[in-house]
Amino acid sequence: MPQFKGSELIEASRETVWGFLTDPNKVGNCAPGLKKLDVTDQDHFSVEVKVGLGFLRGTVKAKYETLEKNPPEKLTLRILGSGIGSQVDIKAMVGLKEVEQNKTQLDWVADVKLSGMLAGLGGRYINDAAYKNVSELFKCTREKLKGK
Amino acid sequence: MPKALPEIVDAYKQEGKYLTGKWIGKPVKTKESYRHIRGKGAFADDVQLHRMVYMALLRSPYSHAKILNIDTSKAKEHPGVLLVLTGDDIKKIMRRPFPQPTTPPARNAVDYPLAVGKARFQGEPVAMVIAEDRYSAEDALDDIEVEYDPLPALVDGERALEPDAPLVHDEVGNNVMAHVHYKWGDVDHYFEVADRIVEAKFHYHRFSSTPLEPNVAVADYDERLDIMTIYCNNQAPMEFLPQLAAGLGMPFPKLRVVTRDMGGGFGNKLANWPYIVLAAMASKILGRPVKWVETRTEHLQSATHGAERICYVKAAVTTDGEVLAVKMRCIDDDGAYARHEPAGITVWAQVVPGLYKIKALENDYYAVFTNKCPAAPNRGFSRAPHLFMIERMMDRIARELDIDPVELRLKNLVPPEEMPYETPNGCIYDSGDWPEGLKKALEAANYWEWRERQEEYRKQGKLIGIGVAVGTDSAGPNMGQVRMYNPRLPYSGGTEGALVQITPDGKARVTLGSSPQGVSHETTAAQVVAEVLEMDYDDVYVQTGFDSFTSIYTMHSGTYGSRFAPLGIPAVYIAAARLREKIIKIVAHSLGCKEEDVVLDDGQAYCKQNPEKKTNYRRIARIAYGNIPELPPGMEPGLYSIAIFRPPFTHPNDHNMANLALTYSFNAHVVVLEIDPETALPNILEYVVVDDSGRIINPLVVEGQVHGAAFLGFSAALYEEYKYDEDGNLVNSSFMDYLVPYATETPAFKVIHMETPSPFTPVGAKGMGEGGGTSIQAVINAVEDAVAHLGITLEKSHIDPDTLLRMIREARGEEV
Repeated sequence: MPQFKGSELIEASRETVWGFLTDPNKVGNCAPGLKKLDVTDQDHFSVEVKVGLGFLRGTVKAKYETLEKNPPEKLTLRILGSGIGSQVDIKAMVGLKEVEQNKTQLDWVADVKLSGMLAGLGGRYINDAAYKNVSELFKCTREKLKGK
Repeated sequence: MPKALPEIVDAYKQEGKYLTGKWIGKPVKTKESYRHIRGKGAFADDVQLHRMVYMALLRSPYSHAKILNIDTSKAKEHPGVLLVLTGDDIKKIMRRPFPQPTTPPARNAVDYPLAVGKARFQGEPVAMVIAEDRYSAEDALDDIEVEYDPLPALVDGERALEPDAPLVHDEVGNNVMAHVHYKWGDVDHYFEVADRIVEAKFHYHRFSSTPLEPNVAVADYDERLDIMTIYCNNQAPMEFLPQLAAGLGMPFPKLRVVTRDMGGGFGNKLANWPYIVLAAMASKILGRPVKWVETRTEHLQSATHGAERICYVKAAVTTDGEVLAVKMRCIDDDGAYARHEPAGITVWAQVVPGLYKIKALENDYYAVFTNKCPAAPNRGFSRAPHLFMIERMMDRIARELDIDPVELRLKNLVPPEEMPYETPNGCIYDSGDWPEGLKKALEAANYWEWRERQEEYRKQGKLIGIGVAVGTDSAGPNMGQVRMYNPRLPYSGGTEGALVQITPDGKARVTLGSSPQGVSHETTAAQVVAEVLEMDYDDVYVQTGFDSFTSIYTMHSGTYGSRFAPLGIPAVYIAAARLREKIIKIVAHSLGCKEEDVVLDDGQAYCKQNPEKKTNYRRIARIAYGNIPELPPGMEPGLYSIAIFRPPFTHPNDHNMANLALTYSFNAHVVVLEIDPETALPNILEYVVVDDSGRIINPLVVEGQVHGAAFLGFSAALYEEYKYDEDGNLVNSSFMDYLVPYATETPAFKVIHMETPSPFTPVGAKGMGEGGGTSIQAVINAVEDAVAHLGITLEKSHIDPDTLLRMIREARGEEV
């Protein structure tokens, strides 16, 4: 099962970042390629996103679920996606550390289980695609939180 | 000569009297090439029908998962969508699942063309959409929501036999698809008296020779005539017709199956019928023609794969290199469903001792279910993996005894003076001088010179490997072989049909029971008809492909098992010979001479006594079809001739003995290659094939087949392999990762022909299209030979540079 991880620096207080990441209407709208967002409750939402990996193109529907919250430090979550002949099962953990005032370091690690076409063809693209999507998500987060 | 054969041989010598060599044996231009080189082939996908709609399939992303729910409501609303069906719908339409060609409890497995309740391999169809155009059908698949509960995947054939392995079919209770255990000869005695026992494990990998054209089906139900017409590229339509008839509740005379040109089929187009059945059901429901064309990824992921086989082999040998007896315990990983398999569990029995005089054999074979794509034949079905084990074992024995591998082979090969040779299990190798064939190949490849230079090259740090393998393409199968594992199976023997007609304009029209997939049946059949009827090759018209409304068929009909030359050609020959006899009677009556004085020559006929007074086929046909009073009294009008060739096959007896193929062609492959010590990339330096496929009907066709078989083996050994991860995901499901060599990577094969006619068929031609997989064993023998001095042995029939490089570095104690 491939594991991905990374760190981001966000210019906002830890509480602000926490508040953003745990608000489905905010974080959901930062999903790359977003076509549709349906919020069920604070801990559950679903999205439809446009995906393009090599010649695999189409829409992926994903369900988000918060598994564990330890505010404002640690968040574990699960995303189950299906589409383009594939299933994606992501379990991720996000940790927040305030490195200085209004500067928060976000460490993330995700275990990704792929089935179907993405598993067959994904080996070739998945690394680049995973980091590209995560970086877009946090770029959006950073922009929305700028100066807050 | 074994009993009961002399009279057959005599009969064929008698029947072979019309062979003059005017057309047979000549490199005449193939009839098929002209349309293909102009891009005018008539493939199933070229069929375009009025009001035709398209089928697309939603496939399981999981290799093993319960299907909890399928919601098709949104897909049904998608613009252009006409029909959406799931496994549960199909279950209601088909009254029963596909019959399982095996024994209990494996027979309890439930197989529908769409998964019911559970998906058992990645790529298994779970739902289908029919729409006005292909785009809408494919797009609507995204609107189907399937809720899965993933289950642990079973991806290893050996693991399948462990008691705690995941169950592929709960109804079966274990993962055994079939099991057989045979003993021929006094194996135990030879293992007692042997000087040495040599042991090895081999692994024949999962691959599938790649056709350019994927699977295609067009089903057209005509409500007015109540006729279902299927255009497809199945290699043996009669194999699935009973299932189609049962699934649709229609009788054979209402089911028309048509094949036309095919873009290759190496057995992997034998079991495409689940898709044909789906298209046919949809056409019947909608009353419109339905087309389905498989994508390349669908083909790689879920068409059919050649079975994977693991074998543990033990050989009892003498110190001077006589191979006395062999024991094998093997496991075939046949994937998720028994859709043609487990036939492979006995088909190897055609070539039990390989080409050698091995006196006794014990074979314990399992076929198992796993969560992988269902297996079906692939070029050299079951015999190629078996010969792989034998030929690899010969190299291992040679190394252990410190004998040159070709010396060992020459010592054990069946000699020409013992032909026809009866193997310990009753197969009858018909003819050939195999030691001479091997010697010719060695000479042409400068074998002994390379052997001498090999040591010098090693000192220079070069890795040169020389690989030799011999093979037989056992051809024209006796279907009774499958009764060795399941005595209840309906088919036995092996037959093929043909129709030859002189039409009222004096031309010849021929239909065949075979379904050629690019193997020039139109050409070779026309050559035989032209030869027997002494007419021009260009005046013989052979119907392209198979049509169950016009072709003469039996339940064995089709193109598989290298069967056209040994079974199809005799049918053509006998039909033409019967027609010739009728024509001679008409000429004798018409010109007023004795039948034995009639001369046929280039479409004309005359009496020996009066060569000036000629008639021709056009005039003869006019009499036969229209001027009936001029026919000999009592003769039936018309110039039709139907023949179905029946070789003397029997069921296997109580000791599982029978002749299981009609002809046994020979080939020897010698490969010299260099392995780059830094990259482990192979470079072929020399590749020689000696081929003896009996009487050659057309050398161009034989040459093409020899090249094709050598290429596909070379490709399997070094390029093609299906790779599954532990979850049962096929990780190379496109041509970016499933490698097929280009022409630029393919060696120039030097082919030398020998020609020893088979005494068991009227024309003497032997089947040879599959080639026995000899190139795989020759290439792997060569790679192992290049690195054996480093202490490396190869288990698998496939080696890629990454793996080999790791082995070389490990052997040298370098960091991997």
